[in-house]
Amino acid sequence: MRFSDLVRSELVKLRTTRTFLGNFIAAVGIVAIICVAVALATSSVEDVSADGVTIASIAVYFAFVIGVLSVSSEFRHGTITPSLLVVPDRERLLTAKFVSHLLAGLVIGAAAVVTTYVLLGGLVELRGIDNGIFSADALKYVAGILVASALFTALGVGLGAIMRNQVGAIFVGLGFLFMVEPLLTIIPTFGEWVADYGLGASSDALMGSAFGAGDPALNQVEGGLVFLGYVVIVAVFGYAIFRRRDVTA
Amino acid sequence: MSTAFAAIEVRGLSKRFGETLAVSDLSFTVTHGKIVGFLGPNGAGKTTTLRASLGVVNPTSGTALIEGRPYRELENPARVVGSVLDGGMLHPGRSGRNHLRMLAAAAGIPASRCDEMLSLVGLSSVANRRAGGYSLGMRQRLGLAAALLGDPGVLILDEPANGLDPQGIRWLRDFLKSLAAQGRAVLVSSHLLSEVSQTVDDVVVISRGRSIVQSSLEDLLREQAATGTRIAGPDVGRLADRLRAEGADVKADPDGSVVVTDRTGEEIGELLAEGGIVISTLEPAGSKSLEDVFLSLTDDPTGSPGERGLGAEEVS
Repeated sequence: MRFSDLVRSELVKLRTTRTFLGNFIAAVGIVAIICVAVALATSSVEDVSADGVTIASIAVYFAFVIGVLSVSSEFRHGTITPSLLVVPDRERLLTAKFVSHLLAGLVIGAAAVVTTYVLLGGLVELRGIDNGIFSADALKYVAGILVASALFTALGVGLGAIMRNQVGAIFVGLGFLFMVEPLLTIIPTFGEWVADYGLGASSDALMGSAFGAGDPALNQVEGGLVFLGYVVIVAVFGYAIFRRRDVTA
Repeated sequence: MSTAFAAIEVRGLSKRFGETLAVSDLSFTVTHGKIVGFLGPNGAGKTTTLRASLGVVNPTSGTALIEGRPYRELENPARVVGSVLDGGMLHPGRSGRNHLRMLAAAAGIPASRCDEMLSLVGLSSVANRRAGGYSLGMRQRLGLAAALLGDPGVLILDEPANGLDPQGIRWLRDFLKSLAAQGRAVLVSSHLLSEVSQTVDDVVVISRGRSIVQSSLEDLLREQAATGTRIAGPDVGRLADRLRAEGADVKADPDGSVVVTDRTGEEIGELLAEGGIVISTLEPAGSKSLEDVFLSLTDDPTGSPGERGLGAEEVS
């Protein structure tokens, strides 16, 4: 069996339900709403700076959900059984899911960036305000968001391979990012470490996210590498668990 | 499509889920060109055995070989084995055609083959509908279409008759026969003997994860038919004593009747008249229906075929 065929099969799976399309539309829709709101709210004396592009970074969480669903949806509906009957080599199947969903994540991230440029760029331009998102400085944010979309999708695939339950996996992933980690930062010493090098801190550093406050401990490249490290750790556990699991669904 | 290897060879297979021993030291073989019925009540371990043979469940011990190799080591399994396992196994939002396409894509099978298979199982008209709206029968047919995508020489079907109406069951029966006639090996599980009794060549009967009987369906019936005369009634105990006193072979059944294998009906009648013995039933023991045979085999808590005199190969 050719690996490219396995990736093609995963892309057919993505294309043939409404799950991917739904997440894609939701991601682009939310980015669009924020872009319009920001464009209208920006007063004429203020400039939109280069980091206005980071509005698009909200799409990475939808990319994460798509990643989680790549494995957990198959368990939920029992399609994991026919999938494994055709591809019994589970490492290869999971690798095909990583590759295909990295692509899917990139598509969502790219769509969000394009939406930001069209809407925020267009509306602000119409109002005749100086727009930093067309400056060369903005390119590092674009790159960060694209890489983060791909990595967040991979994080989702890994987590989905560990936890079969799709709602549980999404809840654990986003809950950790937005609730547990911020709470952990309260703890002395360890909390400071989490605030500087945790999942949220590293991904925010990668995206140059406007949501991250203060002076980041990690620069963009360092943030990307640390976040990649987390993704790899989750993926290693994902492989180990998925490889041995009894599939009775 | 036959090879030097048996189509399916299960050797000493055991599977434990936590405290439960679902399958215990099970062995059987399926050869090409045969339809083998894999029978047992619900919960006997059929599905676990099939799943372990197909590499989706990891055996605790023992092996299952398909064409001489473990399933997970087959180069392109869809071209060797087609299988339908129980359950929905469909994404409700994906059409039947796309379900086949995603599987075909992975196995390097052209999409045109999907449409051929859909027409073979009679699903062409609903192929583009979302599978969530399919009836159980349509799901089973789609499962069969998926199993046949790679034109495999071995078919493993778990309760394929579930959800089929009488016409569907007849269709399935003819379909399986035509597949076996082409030289394929077919292993088909069922909890209902009547569903497969007109289809299968051999049977493997399991209960509580253990093999009880393995034989051809013909032998199973013949052995049953040749077990003498069954007698039941109020004085059957006295009759049994007299028969034993004469040195006859008398076996007591759990239902209170006795079976005599080496006396004719007339000889027994003479004893009855001499002793003034009252009985209610005197019949050939083989008149037990196939269903009775199956039930008595699988209900027996000891699961020992020897007592039944079936002469079938016992797997210990």
